[in-house]
Amino acid sequence: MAIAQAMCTAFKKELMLGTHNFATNGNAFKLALFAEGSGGKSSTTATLGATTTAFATTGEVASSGTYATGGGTLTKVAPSTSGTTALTDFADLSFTTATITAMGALIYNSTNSNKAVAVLDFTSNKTSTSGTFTIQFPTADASNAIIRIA
Amino acid sequence: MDVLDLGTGTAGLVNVMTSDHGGLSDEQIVDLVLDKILLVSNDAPPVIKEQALLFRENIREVLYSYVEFTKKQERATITQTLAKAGHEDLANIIRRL
Repeated sequence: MAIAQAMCTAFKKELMLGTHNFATNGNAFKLALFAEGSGGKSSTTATLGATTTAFATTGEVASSGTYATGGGTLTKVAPSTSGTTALTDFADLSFTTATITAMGALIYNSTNSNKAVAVLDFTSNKTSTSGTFTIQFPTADASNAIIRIA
Repeated sequence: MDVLDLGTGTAGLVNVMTSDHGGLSDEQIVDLVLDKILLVSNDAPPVIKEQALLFRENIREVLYSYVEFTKKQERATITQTLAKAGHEDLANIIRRL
């Protein structure tokens, strides 16, 4: 599979190195959309997964509507804990008046050399045509939050 | 064993919602909100699960009516603003949405 859901291995190491700061006044994180097959720019195909180390434009969807190359900036929710689990979350992200077909996304740290955080696999192509493309993050709890340290 | 875990179950995945030739529908917006308010576990005891699902449907109806109301109010404000600025034709287009 060219796009496989994963928390990037490099990100796990970088957490230990203090590379990523998810505080609301910390680093900036972005979400970029990627296509499999011919949906990406110049018909390139994304290969994303646990081994992804940084954002690259290969296979990224083209700019359309409010989606610009490089993706949208995520609004961070301050890290918290639930029981023995630490978690962080982002506000849902929407691109409007956009014609997009995407199979997945990459969350990356745009403050620190575009280092990869996590790959999201939509499992099937999601398409908007001159419409809204919304990514809703899961409930921010110990069982579901997008990024958890349990 | 402690693990660094990215949610990979159904609930842990992001939910993508799209629309064509316009914004999300009232129903889609309500679905987005409902997923944030109330998740019903598949493992919940049947009686509790049934009550939770019933509660979820009640919330859905309330949310739907207020989403619709909010959109109408927003359109009313836009219509008035356009009409005041002399764009009666545009105001009428918005009014008919």
